Amino acid sequence: MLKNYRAQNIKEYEMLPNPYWKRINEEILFPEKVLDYNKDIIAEKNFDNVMDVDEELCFKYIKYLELDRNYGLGEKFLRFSEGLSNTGLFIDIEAGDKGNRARIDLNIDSENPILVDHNLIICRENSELDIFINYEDDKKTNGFHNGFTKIYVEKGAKLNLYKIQNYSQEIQHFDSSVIFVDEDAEVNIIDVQLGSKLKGVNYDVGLKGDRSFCDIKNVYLGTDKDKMDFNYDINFLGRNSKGYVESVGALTDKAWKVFRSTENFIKGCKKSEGSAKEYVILLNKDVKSHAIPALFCTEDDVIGDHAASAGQLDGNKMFYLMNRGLDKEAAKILVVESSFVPILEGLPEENMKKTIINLVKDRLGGD
Amino acid sequence: MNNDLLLKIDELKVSIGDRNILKGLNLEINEGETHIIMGPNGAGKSTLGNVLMGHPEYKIDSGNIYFNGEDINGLSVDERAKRGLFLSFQYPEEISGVTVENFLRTSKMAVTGENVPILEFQKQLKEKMDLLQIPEEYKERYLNVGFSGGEKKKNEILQMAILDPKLAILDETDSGLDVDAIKVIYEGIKILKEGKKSFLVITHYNKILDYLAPDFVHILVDGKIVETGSADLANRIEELGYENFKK
Ligand SMILES: Nc1ncnc2c1ncn2[C@@H]1O[C@H](COP(=O)(O)OP(=O)(O)OP(=O)(O)O)[C@@H](O)[C@H]1O
Ligand SMILES: [Mg+2]
Repeated sequence: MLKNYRAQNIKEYEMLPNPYWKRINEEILFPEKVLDYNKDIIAEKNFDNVMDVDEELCFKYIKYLELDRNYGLGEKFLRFSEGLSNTGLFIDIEAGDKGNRARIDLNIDSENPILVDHNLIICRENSELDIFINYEDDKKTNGFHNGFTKIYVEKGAKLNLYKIQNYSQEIQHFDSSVIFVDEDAEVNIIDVQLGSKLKGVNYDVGLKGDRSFCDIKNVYLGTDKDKMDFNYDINFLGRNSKGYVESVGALTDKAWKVFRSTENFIKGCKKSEGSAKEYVILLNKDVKSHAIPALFCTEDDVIGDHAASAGQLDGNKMFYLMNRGLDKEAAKILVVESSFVPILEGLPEENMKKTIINLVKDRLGGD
Repeated sequence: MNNDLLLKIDELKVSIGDRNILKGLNLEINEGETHIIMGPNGAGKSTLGNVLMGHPEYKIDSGNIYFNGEDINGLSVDERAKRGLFLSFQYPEEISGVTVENFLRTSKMAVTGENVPILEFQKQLKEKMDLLQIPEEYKERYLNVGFSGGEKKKNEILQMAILDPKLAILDETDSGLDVDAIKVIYEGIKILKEGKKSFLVITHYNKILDYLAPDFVHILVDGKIVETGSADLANRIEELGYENFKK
């Protein structure tokens, strides 16, 4: 029966139709066959409890793997990772264990064009973990990535998660994360989405415990005909819980973007506070940008707030910068840089910020 | 004084939307000269500065602008900057995420088209900041973000000092400054003049006369220069008001 965890998911996966994302007018096509992925995804770590996924492990962790409902980008994506993953990590940080760090590379190349990961991260009580995930490719492989990560941050624990997705436009990128945050636990995420021609990124957070905390920051870039769908859901259950989402992006050429965020205040989450902010710079009039923020409340005693705004390049700002000798392209890039920096300053290393700014310059300068 | 003609504005008519703002303006500035423009609110002084700099919102209906003998009407804003024009803004923009130092080095390289070695640049920056009495920590701050009105204006002059233009247009750089700051700025400008630099100073105060000896004072009313004179003219405005200069 246990052996069936993957088989059962594959069966469900196969029965599901391909999703059609109407907001960006795109039917998502999955690879017909999932080949082996032979790269080591752990670039660096300073702790032991990391396990390659197998059936036995799935059994051991079944209560963490089976969720009460469908989270993430949608059933097809989830079942795909659960049934057909060709890599992934189970990380289980012991109670009270601090200072844990790992660097993970989810890279794609011509030998490993399909990357399907299924991950479980558990931070037991009062533990601490920092994870850095990089997404790169060889820039010549028509590749596909689908990831599904289940994250449990137990009482008093703290998780920092930094993702830098810098795939080329040959890659399709789908990433779902579901995060449960217990009492006094804290999650901070900075998610940088620079590349990939078609991407879907989804976070679904349950602030279960009293005084649980979650902060998600995202910066993104859309160039050429990139299409992207970002979704951030925060469910407030515990009292005095706090959840924040902030997203800043820039779109140029014919890029399409959908940003959704839902703050869901559930009865009992008294004194909770949440906000979702989105700001996008439209560098070109051919871009399409939708923002769909939503706020649901079954509890009155909360503060919820959301704001979405989109702006053309500010003409006076451009005039100012060009007056100081910067040509139009350089001025444009500076305005984008300037809007990304407040978020990138949250990265723990100064050189990460610099690297990202340079990548942004390269991508915007290339047209 | 060197008498090479630097800027020549010839019967300039400018509109925004369907509003005529400059209505046949003539002005000549030679190398090394300081010109002052005074005039009532809404006369078109900032418009003149913006048009000289090539602001895309303003439309030149007729007339010409020559800079160093070249017709610059078709040039983009940055091309004008590269040729040595500089406008100090009445309301400087805030650019978060970019420090004063990084921005200045970037723009110095953009204007000159040459690499500016970092050590040499830092030395230069320190010199000019000292001259303008700007505390050193300001170079690490984001450009104009959270700066007071006066600090922003000082920062404009700092940028001018670094970029070293041929013609600097200062649009009300002295408004909103306390007396000490005005003194620092104008004494700084005096030193920066270095003989060949020309200035077009837009101001409402004749305080400037205490520091800079202008070669000409012009009165701009309703889109035209209605009177040109020496420094003395600024004092007469003080007494008579603009009413008496309107045509
Ligand atoms: N972008 C614009 N859109 C519409 N009208 C404008 C614009 N810029 C300037 N104007 C108008 O043109 C006229 C001249 O404005 P300008 O800013 O040049 O005046 P000014 O002489 O600098 O005045 P002040 O002494 O108040 O700074 C004003 O009536 C102003 O309202
Ligand atoms: Mg003005």
